[in-house]
Amino acid sequence: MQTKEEMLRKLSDCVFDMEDEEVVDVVKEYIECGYDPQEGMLQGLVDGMKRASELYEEGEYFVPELIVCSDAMYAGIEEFQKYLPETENNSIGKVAIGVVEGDTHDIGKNLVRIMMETGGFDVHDLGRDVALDTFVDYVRDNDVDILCMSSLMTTTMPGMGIVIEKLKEAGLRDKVKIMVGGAPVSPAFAEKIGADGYTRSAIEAVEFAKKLVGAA
Amino acid sequence: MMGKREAVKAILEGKGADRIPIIMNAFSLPVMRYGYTMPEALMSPEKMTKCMVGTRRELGYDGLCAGVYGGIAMMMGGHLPNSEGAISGNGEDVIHSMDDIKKLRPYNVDECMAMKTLLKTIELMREEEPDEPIYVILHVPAAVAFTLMGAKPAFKAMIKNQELFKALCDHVEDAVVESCKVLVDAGVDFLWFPMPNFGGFCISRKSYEKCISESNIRANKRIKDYGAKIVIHTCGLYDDRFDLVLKESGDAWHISDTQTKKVKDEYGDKVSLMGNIPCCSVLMEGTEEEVYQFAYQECMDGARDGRFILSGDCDVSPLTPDENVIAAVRAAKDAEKVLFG
Repeated sequence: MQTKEEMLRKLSDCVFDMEDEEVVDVVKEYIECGYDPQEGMLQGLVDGMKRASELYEEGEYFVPELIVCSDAMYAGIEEFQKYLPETENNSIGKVAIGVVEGDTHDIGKNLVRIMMETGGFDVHDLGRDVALDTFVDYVRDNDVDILCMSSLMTTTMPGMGIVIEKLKEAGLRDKVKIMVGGAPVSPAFAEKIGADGYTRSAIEAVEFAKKLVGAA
Repeated sequence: MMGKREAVKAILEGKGADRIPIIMNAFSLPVMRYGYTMPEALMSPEKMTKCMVGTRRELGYDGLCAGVYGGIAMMMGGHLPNSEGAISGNGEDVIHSMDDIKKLRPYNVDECMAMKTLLKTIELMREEEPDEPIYVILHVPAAVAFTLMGAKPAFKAMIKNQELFKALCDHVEDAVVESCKVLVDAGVDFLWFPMPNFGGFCISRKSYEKCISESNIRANKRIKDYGAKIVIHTCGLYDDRFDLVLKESGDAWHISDTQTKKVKDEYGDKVSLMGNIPCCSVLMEGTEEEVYQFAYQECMDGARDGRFILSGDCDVSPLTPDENVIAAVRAAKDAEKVLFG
């Protein structure tokens, strides 16, 4: 029987090496060894995703690699969940995320969501092409720490500013921190529309979000 | 001084011109300036011509974009359900296996409504402004394949199933070549091929070489055999792969996210350049003076051999102040006097 450390490394490698089909068998093997599923998720699968993120930052991995790594991580998590009697909420903060109305480019948003989840946030994904009022309604009706909005197009990016204005009008602006992102978005634009921050990449977004909720 | 079309032709043929054409690659700006939606403008040759010609005259830049041709994915895959089970009609996200490729409909350019609309637009623009260069934005086979597969499945295939991605590129190649031939016959001055930013920002050099460049090399050669002039827009960080793009036979590169001087020094003797004012941080957010200075320097860096077209680094934002576009035009005119007398 392999040691727990060996099995954790194997889980981590499945994610890091993009083995999205093999990972389920490795999870089963890990469970059969009698090791803790929670530990397997965090110190195995999530560790692999963090290693992949580091290579992304270094320009070794790109978006396709991250997508396959995250598919492997989620396939493993899905298998682990069968063995978890009850879920413990260890979230460091609640995030709502979406691509603004008129824009269907959601690869970047999905990467931010994955990285936020990997980083310990509880993320609610509003999707893509999200009506501006939906962001406002969600903040009003839910307990959210951070609202993340993105746009890949200059034609739709003003929508993020409109949401912020609507939140102000509804008296909700102070209830939530706001992060914006997307290819055409800049720090100057974020400041101009009154967002709390802009980050260039999904990895930076997690670190910035942690600072916003005091978890950094 | 050369006429505008003559100058663009000379630049794309690598001979050099005695002026700096300013083709701002403004597509969404004119459409929104005239209060149209994108579909509305794309479906109406009259509206497209009105906004493109009107904005060009108002702001003083050169060239007319006749539209974006998306008819191939629509015609071949529009009848298929996407990954959510819906038939959207645009052919996005409908091919996920080799078997799916067999379900694609044959492409017939003569029956494509989008092409008919585009040809009418070119005709109207040519009547309205006979001396202006006209270009069309058109997707290379890899970009059509990307559309047909949908972003996430396409990215995943680049890692796990390159054969599928490449087979789809091969399958749509004839359609792309055929469409280009029709547009060349209609008298467009050049075809503008955007390498979607998945090429530069999102994928590795290795994936680019295998999944995109090999297909581009073959398709572009066939397209050029019909006499087409090709501008390849490298949208994203291509610094580590310009050597691959060089093999793709572009007559010019419309560069972004890099330094014009650096690319000029390294590849300027082999290919003409277009670009490279950052559309957001400079054109949209900069002051008039900042735009002027940046544009002027671009011209000095890129146009010393007469093989340069001044442009934004991508589509000019509709939020761009008029005075900033006008400042870029003024900068090119001033640089022109210094460089060509």
